[in-house]
Amino acid sequence: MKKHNFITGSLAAIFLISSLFIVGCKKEEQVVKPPLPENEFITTIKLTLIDTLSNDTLLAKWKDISPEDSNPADTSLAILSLKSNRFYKAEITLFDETKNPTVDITNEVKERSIYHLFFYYPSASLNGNLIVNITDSDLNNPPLPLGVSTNFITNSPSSGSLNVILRHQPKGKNGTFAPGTTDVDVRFRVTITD
Amino acid sequence: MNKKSFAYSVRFVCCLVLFLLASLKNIEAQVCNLKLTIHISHAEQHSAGQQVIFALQKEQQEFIQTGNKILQFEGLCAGQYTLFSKGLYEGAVDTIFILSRSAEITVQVNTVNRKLRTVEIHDDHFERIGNESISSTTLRQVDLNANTGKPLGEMLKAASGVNSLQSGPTISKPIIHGLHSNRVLIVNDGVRLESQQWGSEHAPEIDPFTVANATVLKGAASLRYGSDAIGGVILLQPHEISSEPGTELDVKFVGMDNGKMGGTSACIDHTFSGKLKGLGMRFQGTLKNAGNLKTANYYLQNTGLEEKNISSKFYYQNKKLIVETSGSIFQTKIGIFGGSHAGNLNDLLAALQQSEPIIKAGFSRNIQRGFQEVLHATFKGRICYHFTETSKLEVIYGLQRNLRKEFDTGLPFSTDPTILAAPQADFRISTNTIESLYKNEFKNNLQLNIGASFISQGNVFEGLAYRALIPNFRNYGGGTFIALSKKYKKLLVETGLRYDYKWLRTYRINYNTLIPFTSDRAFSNVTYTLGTTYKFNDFMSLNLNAGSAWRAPNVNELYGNGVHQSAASFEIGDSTLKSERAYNSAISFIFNKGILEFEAGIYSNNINNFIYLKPLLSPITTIAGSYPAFAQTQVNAIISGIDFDLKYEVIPKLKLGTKISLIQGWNKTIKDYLIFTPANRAEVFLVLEGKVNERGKKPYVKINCLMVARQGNVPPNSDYTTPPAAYQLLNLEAASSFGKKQPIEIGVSIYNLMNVSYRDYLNRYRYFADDIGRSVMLRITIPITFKKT
Repeated sequence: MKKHNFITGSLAAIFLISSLFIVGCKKEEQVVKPPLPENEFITTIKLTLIDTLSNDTLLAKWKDISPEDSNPADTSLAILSLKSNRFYKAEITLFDETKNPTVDITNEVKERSIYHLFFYYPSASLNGNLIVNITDSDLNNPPLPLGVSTNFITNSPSSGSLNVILRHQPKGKNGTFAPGTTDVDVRFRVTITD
Repeated sequence: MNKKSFAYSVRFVCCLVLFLLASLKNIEAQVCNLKLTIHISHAEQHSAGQQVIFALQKEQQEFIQTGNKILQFEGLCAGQYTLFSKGLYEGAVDTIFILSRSAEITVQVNTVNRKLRTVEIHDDHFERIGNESISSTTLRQVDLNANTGKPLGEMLKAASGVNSLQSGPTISKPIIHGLHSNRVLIVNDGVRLESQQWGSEHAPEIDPFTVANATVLKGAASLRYGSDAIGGVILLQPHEISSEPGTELDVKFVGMDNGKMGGTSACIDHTFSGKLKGLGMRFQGTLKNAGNLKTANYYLQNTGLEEKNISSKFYYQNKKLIVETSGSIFQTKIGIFGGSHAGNLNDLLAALQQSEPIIKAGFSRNIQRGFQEVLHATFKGRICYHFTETSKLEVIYGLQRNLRKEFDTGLPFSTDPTILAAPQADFRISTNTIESLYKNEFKNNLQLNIGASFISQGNVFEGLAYRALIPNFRNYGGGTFIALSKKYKKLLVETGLRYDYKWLRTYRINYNTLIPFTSDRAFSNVTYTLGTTYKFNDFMSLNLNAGSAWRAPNVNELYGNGVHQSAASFEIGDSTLKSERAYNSAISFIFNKGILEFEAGIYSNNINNFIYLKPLLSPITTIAGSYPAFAQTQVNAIISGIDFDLKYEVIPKLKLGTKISLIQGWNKTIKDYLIFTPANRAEVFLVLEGKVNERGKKPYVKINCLMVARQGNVPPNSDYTTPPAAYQLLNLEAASSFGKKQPIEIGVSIYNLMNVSYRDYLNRYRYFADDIGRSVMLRITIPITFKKT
């Protein structure tokens, strides 16, 4: 008889422990965690241009404060009104505007410059009247362009758009577009007037 | 169903378990209780009247019977027995039986040219309830062994009508007759697998080394297994713990040149004798590691994997009762191919222009960012009580916890080290299931099965992604069924009815105001089936099955909303979706005699309110660029096809065989083809088999040619590129067992022998890279037995 008592006892214990699992089940799904404050998202791309002739400052802003969803972006300020035959010093800044106060992410991109690269593509309708040259470089050896700091050179009056793309190239950054994936792909309207 | 009544039902079952345990006393243990009934079939009429001595032998045991027509042996253990005769039939009936359950079998008397025959009687463990007439394929150890080391989804492709949905070479999900994910249930050792099945890149969390027997039910097998199984059910079983006292150790090694993959799995079983007679236990563990895999021409960057699994089981059986508890932990880390990331539509279109990935790689075992880490823990308790020889009650409880972490290639923008080390998606799902089953066989060949099941499930999302890919939810479900089957001589008729109720509450927050809110959905419906099997004789039968089943929409279909990164698509859920309703009908014919084995089946699955991703005309633009948009939509669809299996012994020991699967999916609402339907495929193979050895194993060499057609039947404007071209692969395999005292089984397989570069329509990475090239795999199994005498 003893053998069955032993088996019965141990099996009963196992079942009791398992039933505790059910009873002890916490309903952790009822607490929905909001987005983590320390985690940052790119919501806003700001272009700051300084006209080297007049020292005027121009600002253009593309923003989408609901990242990862289908709500349309706010492009009302994504306009660059440039003067013909000028030389602008330009700087790009990235922000997370889901946070209060707004967080500047540009430094994090600079710190990870070895695998980030900005591309500036003026549209064909600008007929080559806008030229963007990258002036900064990353920490690769030999250094490769980064594209946070640029020069904008304008020629004759025209209108079109400027496509700004941030490539994320954790493998094989070589200065070309192809490796990696796209982190940012936005478009600014451009007018060049006399 | 509310929480209270669920807790009550759980308490009820616990009480029942304790009651049954208490009743254990005074029942004399009896381990070897199998029965073998042998009908002797005489070719020549004149010998039919004489009494002959027959002997059934196993090691030290010998059962002698004198008879002529029917022999009945009782008290047999699982294992191998040899039948022979003395006197008149000497050498004329010699047969090896590999027994794992009670059986009834016919043995032909052949006085001229008698060859030693082997009959394997497998314990299919699960009983066919209300689904005996559904077409099925069982893959036994032999079939599975040839693919050991591959992902589970790839191993199951050995069954006709089964395909796999792949995300690269290491992530594979089974597709049955064109349906997958939530429409296919996987039942592992009696517990239905509950994880994040909805994701196409979420492979089943099961250690393939533990699977000894896999049965694929091809058709709506919802009656027995629950409402979701409108595509089919995959039943996986480990091998049984031997009922004979002693210790068995089974060690397996597998190695593959491609990816320098290495795996080892060890399983130790001990069956007690004396005071603890009837008690058995098992401890099992698996380790697997692989580096970057190679296609015909290049390596795939970051495609390594690491896997660590352990499991244990305690099993007690006496004449009336089986009690079993088991636990397992499955842990894996899988690299996501570096070339498969598309930041937006333009990235994907650029990748399509490349004949090979831009990122070049060599061999490496290092898994970098862009990987998934999954842990799946299961606890199971099962109790089965036999009231009489023909009636029993079975209760199975399962607890599963699944933790899935997905790390994207890109580090999050943050300076906080905990954020930098955190996954972009972090799912935690916990599931409790309980199932009870009562069976009674009446004297007039009528069998009754009644069952009930409950499920409670909670899901938490806590990734870095701005919004949850799927919301937090709590899900309760309950179902009950009745199934009847009756045998009239050669005809079996079965029918059944099931009712299920499901309740789903999602917990979400408004991302602007951060105010939480909930929403509830409830679904309930019936499942019914009618089937018949007609056995013309021992070797020919016809199955007919018709039934209707349903599936409630899954939480990702209802509330999912966001970018699906690996597909570069924007998927939009619909919270108003209704349940899918399937009407399934199938006919299959089986012929199996002498040199010819043949099976053919035709099926048609009409699914109303079929949920699929419909392409939308305008893309969605986010800060990372534009994505083509897809919305969860319901249409009426029909999937139909033909499966055909044939094996023919051309000359003794040489068999020629073929397997053909033809399938077509049609969207009736838009009168066009269904996207992502498997391409038609055919296999032709030639097997040369050797003599059966003492352990019932046959050495063999097999050459197999797989031909997969191009999927030409696709709807326009719903994919980024045209389906890949047709391809043919040549595979070679051989296996044999060596050594008498201490056997060693060695097998070699070469996949893609000609190193063909190809892409498969159902591999989601076909946009980015080729499938894997030639791979040579070596398997060694060492079974060690310590018997008590």
